[in-house]
Formats: sequence, C-alpha cells, structure tokens
Amino acid sequence: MRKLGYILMLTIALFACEKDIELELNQQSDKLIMYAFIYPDSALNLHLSKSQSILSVPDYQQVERGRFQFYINDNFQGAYILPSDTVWSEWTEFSFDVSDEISITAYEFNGDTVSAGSYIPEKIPILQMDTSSVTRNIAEVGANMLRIRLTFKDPASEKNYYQTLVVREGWGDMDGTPYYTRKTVEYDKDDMVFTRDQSGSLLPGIDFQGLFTDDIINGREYGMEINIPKDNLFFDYYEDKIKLTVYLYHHTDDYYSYFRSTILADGYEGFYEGLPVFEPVKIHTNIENGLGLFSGMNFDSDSLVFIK
Amino acid sequence: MPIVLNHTYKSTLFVLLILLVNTSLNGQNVLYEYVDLSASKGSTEFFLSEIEGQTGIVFSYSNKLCFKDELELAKQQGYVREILDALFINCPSNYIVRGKKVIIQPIDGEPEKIVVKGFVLDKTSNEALIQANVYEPDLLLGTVSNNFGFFSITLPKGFTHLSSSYVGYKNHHHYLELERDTILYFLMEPKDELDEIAVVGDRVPGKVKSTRTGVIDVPIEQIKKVPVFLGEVDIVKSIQLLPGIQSGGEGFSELYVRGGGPDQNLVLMDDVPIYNSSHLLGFFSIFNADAVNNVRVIKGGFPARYGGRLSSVVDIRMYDGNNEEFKGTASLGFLSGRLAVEGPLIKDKSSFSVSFRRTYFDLITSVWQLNEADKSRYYFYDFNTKLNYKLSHKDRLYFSGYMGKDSYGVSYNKQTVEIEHPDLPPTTRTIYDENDVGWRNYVAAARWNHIFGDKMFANTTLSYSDYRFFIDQSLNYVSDGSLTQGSQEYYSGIRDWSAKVDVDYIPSPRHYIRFGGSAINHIFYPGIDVQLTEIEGTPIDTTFGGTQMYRAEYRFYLEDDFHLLPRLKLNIGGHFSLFQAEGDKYYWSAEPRLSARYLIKDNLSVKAAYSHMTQYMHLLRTSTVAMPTDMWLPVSRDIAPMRAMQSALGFEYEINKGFNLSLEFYYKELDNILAYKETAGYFDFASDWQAKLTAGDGQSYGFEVLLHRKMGNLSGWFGYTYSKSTNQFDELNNGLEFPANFDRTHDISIYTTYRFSDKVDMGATWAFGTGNPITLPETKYYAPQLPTAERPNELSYNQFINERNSYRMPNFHRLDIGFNFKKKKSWGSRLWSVGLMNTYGRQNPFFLYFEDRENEQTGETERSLRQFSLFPIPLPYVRYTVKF
Repeated sequence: MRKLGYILMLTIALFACEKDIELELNQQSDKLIMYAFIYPDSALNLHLSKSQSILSVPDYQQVERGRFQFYINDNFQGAYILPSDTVWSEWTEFSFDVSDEISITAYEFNGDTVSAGSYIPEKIPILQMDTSSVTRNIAEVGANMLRIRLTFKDPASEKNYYQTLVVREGWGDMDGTPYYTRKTVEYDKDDMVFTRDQSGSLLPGIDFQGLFTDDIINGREYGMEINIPKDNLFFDYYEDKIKLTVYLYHHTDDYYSYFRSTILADGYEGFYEGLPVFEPVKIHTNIENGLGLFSGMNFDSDSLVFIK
Repeated sequence: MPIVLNHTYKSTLFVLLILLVNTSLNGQNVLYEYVDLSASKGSTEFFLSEIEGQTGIVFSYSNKLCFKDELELAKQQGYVREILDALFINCPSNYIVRGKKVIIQPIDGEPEKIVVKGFVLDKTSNEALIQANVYEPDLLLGTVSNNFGFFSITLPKGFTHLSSSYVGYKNHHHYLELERDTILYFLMEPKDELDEIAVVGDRVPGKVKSTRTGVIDVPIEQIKKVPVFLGEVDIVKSIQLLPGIQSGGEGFSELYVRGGGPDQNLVLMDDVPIYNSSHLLGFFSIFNADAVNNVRVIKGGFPARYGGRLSSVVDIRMYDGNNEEFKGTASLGFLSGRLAVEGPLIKDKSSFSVSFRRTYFDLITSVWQLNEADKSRYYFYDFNTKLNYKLSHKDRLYFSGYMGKDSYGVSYNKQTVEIEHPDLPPTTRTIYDENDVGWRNYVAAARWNHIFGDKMFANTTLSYSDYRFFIDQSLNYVSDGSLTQGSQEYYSGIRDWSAKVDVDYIPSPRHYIRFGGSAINHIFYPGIDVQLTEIEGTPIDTTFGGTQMYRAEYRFYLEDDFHLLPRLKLNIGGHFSLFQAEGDKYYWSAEPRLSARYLIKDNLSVKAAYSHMTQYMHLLRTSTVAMPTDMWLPVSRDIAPMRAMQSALGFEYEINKGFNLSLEFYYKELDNILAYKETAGYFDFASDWQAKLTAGDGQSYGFEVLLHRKMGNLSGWFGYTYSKSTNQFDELNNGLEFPANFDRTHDISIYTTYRFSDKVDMGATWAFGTGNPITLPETKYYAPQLPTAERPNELSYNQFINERNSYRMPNFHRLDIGFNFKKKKSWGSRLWSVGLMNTYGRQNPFFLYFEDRENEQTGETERSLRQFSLFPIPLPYVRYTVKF
C-alpha cells in the first residue's frame, strides 16, 4: 500500500504546498477524562484529567480538585480525593476478584461529574501450548519462525474479546551486575481469528496488536497459531536465559473497542505517511458524560524458557 | 488526346454531371419556394393561379380535388407547400413534383404509409452520428438516430421532405417521392464554424425533439478544447464542469452526481461497464479523446434501458473507424504520447480504428537512474481498437477492445549471480528484487446489428470486462552458491461476462419503442494471494485467501417514447432486474421510469421525470480519495441493494439552433447507502467486511441552470448548481443527519472557447464551488499507553469528534486557459496546444490538518490548522499534435 502512497507523495512533492488557515472552530466545554485498568488481585490505578481545545499544545489539563467514589459489586468503598500532581494515582486499598462488578463516579469539585462501570472478566485458561519450527513468508525468503499453537476453549454463552501478547524477557550478567531485558514481540498474525482470510501478505491490514473476537470460534476449543520470528530466540551478548511468555488476555467489550479504535486512528496515519485521506475514527469510550476508559481485564499465560 | 487533357476533360465532365444531378435534385425544391400572396381571401383557383404566376410552377389536378369559391388563409406569405396545405386542409392531398409541374392528388381515406430507414453518418468518415434528429418539418414527424446512427420513420406516401440535424454539422435535406419503403443515408457535412449564417428554418422543430430531462450531450470537439492538466485531454474532467456534477477533490477524475457517490455512476464504453476509469490514482481518466465519438451524461430521468447504478450514466461511444480513407493523429505532451489511426479495411465493407496512449515518465527516469542501485518506474497506457464489418444492408458486426494499465515498480537489492553450465564456462547475471503495484482494465465486446424488416433494429452484444488491482513482488536469495527465488502476487477485482440484446422498434413516427434484456455473470475477487517459490529449479505454488464470488444478474426493460397529445410527448418504461446474492438469496427490482415534455412554444418546453434505480454492488472504499484498492463487492444476505428515487422538473428554451438555456429542479432520495462504521475502515481486515459497514439514507435536492452554446465561434457553457445533500445513518453521527461528503451548496462553472480564425482558438474554464464538508476534531485528550499494547502509541492524545462533516473547507475556484494554434500542411495539419492551469495561482484546499510547529521568533511550540493544496501554482502545459 505504501507504494500507492509513494505515487501520491511524488505528485504532491512536485506540486503541493501547505499554509495556515483560519477556521472558526466550535467551542466545546472541556470534558472530564478518566482511565482505569483493573486486574484481579491488583491495586486500582486511576487517571482523571480534562480535555483541551484541539489547538492547544499540551495534550490535557490536570484536574486540580478531583474526587471519586468507588463501588465493588454495588458496595460503596468510600470517597477519595485525587492528588493533583500525578498523572496516575495508585489505590492499594482495593483488591479485585474475577467477575467483580465495579463502578466509579468521579468529579471535579464544583465541576462536572463522570461515571463508569465495568467488571473483571474470567480467565480463559491456555489448555495447551505446542511449538514447531517453520519457514514462513516467502516475501522474506528463508525466514525461520517459531510456530506456537495455543489451545483454549471459548465460552459459548457470551461474546468474548481476546488479545494474544508475547513478551520476551532476558536475564544475564553484565560485569557482575544483573542484566535484564524485556520487550513485547511483534509476531505474524496470519491466523484466521486475526485476518478473517481477507488480508494478503502484500496487502496487509492494520495490525491490531493481537486483538480478536470469538466471531469464528464461538463456543469451540480452538488452536490458534502464531509465528514468532526466530531472531527473538537469539541470545544477546549478556543474556544467559530467555523466556518467551504468551499471554491470552480476556478483555471487556469496552477495552477491546477502545483499544481497537485507537489503533485504527493511529494506523491510518501510517498508511499514507500522515496524509489525512481517511475519515477520522471515533474513539470508543464507556465514560458517561466524559471520555476515556474504565475496564477490568484478566489473562492466562504460558512460557518457554531457553537457557544458553 | 494527351493523357493529362483526357483526365481534365473527364474530370470536368464528371463535375458537370454532379452539378446537373444536383440541379435536378434541387429542382424538387419548388414546393419550398417562398411566395407572397396579394390577398388573403379568394377562391382556391385564384390562389393556385397566383402561385403559378409568382413561381412558374404549373399545377395539375383532377376534378376530385375540393375546390372552394371563397376561403380565407391565415397567412399570406409562406412556402408553396404551406399555402397548399392551408388550401386543402379539409381534403388532404399528395403533391407530386415533376420538375416545375406539381400534380395535386386528393388522398382517398388514410394515406398509405411508407417506411424510410437508414443511417445518419459523417460525410467524410462515414462515422455514425448518434442522437441526430431526423424529421419531416411540415408534418412535424421525427425521430432520432440510435447509437449506431440508424433511424426509421414512417411517412405518408407521396412527396416528402426529410431533414437531418446534428450539432456541428450542416442540416441535410432529402426531397423524395415516396412510392415504396426506402433506404436513405444522411451524409452530414461538418459545418465551418467561421461561417455563422443563421439559416431560416434550420432549427429542429421542438415537437420532434427529446422528452428527456437531465441529459447532456457534450460535443467531443468541445471537450477536446477544454484546457487540461499537463496537456492530457480528459473527458471526465470536462464532464465535471457540467452543473450537478462535481469532482471529489481538485485534480481527481471522480464524479459525484446530485449527492451520489462515485460508485453510483454507470460508466459505459461502447455498452460495456468500466469499473475503474482512472489513471494515476484518479488524476486522469482512461478515455483517450482521440478514440471517442460521442459522450452523453444522464443524471436524472433515466431511460428504462439503463440500470444498475443510482446516480448517473456516462455513455461513451468510440469511433468505428473512417470508412473512406486512412486518417491518423499523433500527439506528444508533457506526460504522454498518443497515436490514433483509422481507415477502411475493405472499401464500403469494413473499417478499423486503433489508438494508443502511453506515458513516458519512466523512460525519462530510467536515464537518470542508470547508475543508481535502486530503480523505480511509473507508467500507464491505453489501447483502444474497433473493427466493423458490413455483412449486408441489414447486418453489421463490430469488435471492440480496450486495454489499459497503471504500473509503479521498484527494482532494488542488486545482486550478481554466477550461473554454472555443465558444458560452458560460468557466466554472471545481475538480478534485482522487484516490487510492482498497479491496476488494469481489459474490455472486449462483439456486437451484431441486424435490421428486421423496416422498423426494427436489434443490437446483440457479448462483452467481457475485467478490472484488477495487483501487487507483485519477486525476491532473490543467494546463499552458498545456490539461488532461491520467490514471488508473490496479490490481486483483487471484478470480472464480468455478459450477453445482451437491445431492440429499437419504430412502428410509427409517434412511437419509438425500445426493449431488451441482459444476463451478466459477475465474478468478484475480494483479494487473492498467490505465492511461488523456486528453490534451485523446483517451483512450489500456493494460492490462498479470498474466495471468488460468482453472482448472476438479469435485466429486462421496455420503454416507449410517444406523443400522447400533439404537444405532450411521454417516455414511459420499466426496468426489471434480478440479482443472485448468496445461494438461494435473490434480490429483485421493478423500476418505473417516466418522463414527459410539454411544448409551450416551439422553442420552449417544460419537462418532468420520475425514476427509480437499484444498485446491487458497491465500492468498498479505501479512503476519502479514489484508490485502486477500492474494491467492488456485491450485495449479500446482510447488505441489501441501494435504491434511489429521483424526480425532476425542468424548462428548456432553445435560444437558437445549438444554443439552449435549461433550468432543472430535482429531488432525490437514496436508501440503503453504505458507509464505514465510525470504528472501522478498509484496512481493518480483522473484521468481516460486512460487519464494518452500516446502511443509511440520503437526500439531495437543488436546481441547475445550464446555458449551453454548442456551435459557433464562441461556444461553451455557463452552469450553476444550487444543491443540498444530506445523509442519515443510525450508527453515524449519533443518528443525526449530516452533510453528504461532497455536498456543495453553490457550484459555478464557465467554459468558453473562441475561434479567432482557422488557425487559432482558445479555451478557458473557471470553476467555483462552496468548500467541501469536512470532519474536524474540536478537542484533544490524554491517551495512555495501554497495559497490553504491543508497541507504543503513535500519539499521546486522542482527538474527539463531535459532529460529522460539520465544517467546510475554504471555497474552491480556479481559472484555466489554453490556446490552440493550427496550421494546415501538405500532409494534413499540425496543432500546438499551450495553456496555463490555475492561472492566478489559487491555493485550493485538498485537505486540512492540525500541526505542532515551533515559532521561530518565540521558540514556543504552536499548534495550528493547516491547509494542504495539491496544485497551488500556475501549471503550464504544452502539447504538439499532428493529423495526417
């Protein structure tokens, strides 16, 4: 696709120009923005801020006098004052279990109020993880891949949203001090759950970072295959041990929709080198009277360990 | 006698003979001599004597003729025929002309009917003239030639005067004694526009003219004179200058007609639908003007014979080929070279037309890149050909073909490989990895015209249309002396096989009946991957992805163009279609088509139209501008057909022959139109394509004014459109109505061409349009790095969109000027075309965006809304053309 972009860019480079223009934008009152991502057995991390005019340089404005009230399974947990000097505040007094219903009301003192509700999804266990070595992608002749087959069972009674994430960690020793590396692995997402048989290797779609739904696997036990470039298995100079951890996240509808819409919004930026030739994407939110995301999440994981 | 003198003698005799024949033919004109009677009252005999006295005509008549002793004529002046008609108004008579003698015979009962059929052709090339008027000016009976130049008209036995009229040509008259069914050819002579003499009675009587609203015929010669981007004559860009039709963005060849999208236009090349009519990402259209004979745009009041799209029909007819002599045109411009050749294959039997256009940008860049490791190239070409063969007076065969392609390629990773032969010393070869991306159209049609009897004309067409977008990649990998080669291809597109029959049946001058049907087999390719790896001579071939979708479509139509009252002409018809969606799922439609014209005065008419249209396929768009990746997909169980209803009311005033003023009001409703959901898009392959779309409704209304002068030294048009187009989707913009993507409140286009002399003419266009609607975010807010993100966010903020298309870009306006300098040469003529696009350097918006930049004076970061213009400066062009 980028090649088409190049043709467009060539034309543009030959003739085009840019200039500032004045356009009266409608004045929108600032909205409250709230984010929280909640795992079982973890603390609550909360962000509250306000939106800005699109013409402002800072991305957001801090809420000086923020408050929130928190509920777990409709039980009032208390009212709290938010610190005004941090982007995120951590609240260790809360802990969460699978299937907990959680809700929050946050407000700016003498200002707007926002509210949101979510739940902690069930963990979907990884039933089996098998590996094999394959040569993939003829476009990169001879590229060797580690194929991982991840088997799990999708609950039939509900619509489920997933994400598969692979994290590579390395441990070693660097001149007597412990050495640690961590990165997420960008793997080939050719499985039908990602592509629906629509993309080609030469016309790749947007990489949704491993997000998928149960649309084509509803209620079934499914063996999903992912291909990890083998260079992720090479030890660097200091590493003695490598661990590849495969996470199977079970997301809420809201988390999935928010994540997906932000990827779409960002993704189109890349296709034509920033040319805004796509309709702007509306970012999903589940914050009533405001913007942002409040969601629970859960995961299972399995790992492969390689020793030098 | 010496040979030269003998030749001169014969030539002189031949010319004299022609003059003599001509004189004798003109002798039949006595009925059209003008007389001025001395009185308006008198006996029949008195008036006949007076005519004889003034004209030298000798009347002969039987005693059965109804003579009156006293009658009063409504007018004292007129043609002889008009006076005779008035004298014998109560006893219709035939007038048989024999030189200066006119025999008047009373008609007993209904006069016998005679059928005159034939063709209207260009005199110099024998090219069919489409939609030429053929009429009897006194009886006010008329018809038009069809797409093959054929006409048929039924007239009373006896003397008749039959005329033909076509824009840019001199009127042609035949004076005939009709005794039996007759074949007649109108060989029309192009008019020298410098000789602008208004001929009395040259204008086609209003009564015999079309009933249609929303139809614009643009003379191809006018299109060729429109100043053009980089010197490329572009039919579609000329069409964009007509009222009610807009371009998607500056420089693009998309058509947005009366609030409809670019996939709602049926673009026909010699009856075959074209699915992507653009080159260079939409900057040029695929139609090579050298090969085009006729362009007709229908944006409302659709005749029943057209169907399958909601908003417009662009009917383009290619040249058949000169039947008389070989002719050619060659042309060089900034961007491309063109060559067109036509001529007879077998005299009076068969002719051909071939044209070719290709860009040479890649040839130039290949010289620059001689020593570069990586090489890139871009080109497009068009190849048109048409052959016709006349089997008999009643049968004719046509074969036409089109091939066009755009290709952008890159060669990189230069490698030198040693090749070993068992019996020869090793040699080396340089190889590159290569990427190619492009799109192409292949179109072919075979047609058979047959005339059944005198009143029925049938055209049977077998056609093939294939559009494909492709990406090819080939890679080489040398390791330990062995070469591994891999290639991949991705393609998507649509392929049609179709058979259709169209019949014109003209039972009488008061009826023109058309009926026909077609069967189309569509094959949709939503994206197919082919991979081939060859490792030391062992190929491995894999095809996967993208199921082919076979869909059948059937269409039938019936329409009649007829006079209900002397001044009221109607066109009533119906179009019926059936589409197989998936398995046993069928969609059907029965679409009424009605248009009417009431003649207030001979040159002033009021027209009305009502039509329904249905569309069974839609274009899944990649972005807001046309891209070859845009994919045609059929309706399905979940995606219902798009439907439209349009009504129109118009007035047409013919100021002079070929000079018209029209005003048309329209109202259009669109149902089940498709758009992407707000959280989906083309490259979202993780969702089923049907799940990404949402259906809604649209509405468009407005009025259009067109002042169009098709002939004369000063010709062109002024068009103004006021329109409002809105959409409503339950899943978009919170369910609220919003302006359609290319809603343009005011749109003005002026096109003038002035011919200074035989050698010099100029053309100028000025277009103005209200700025296009645009969606802009109004606020931004914090976007955290998500805990499960595979990679960091591109941006640290999200944008909030309050309303869709709630802003407008700045207004658009642009002036283009071009000059043509023509010179006759012994071998033909040459033409220099020069001009300046965007003459006053208007910076029109292509899109708007927000950007953070550092203020150089304060050092602070500032954020502003910026406008991006594609063609902000005056762009000159030059083109050299020779005709031989």
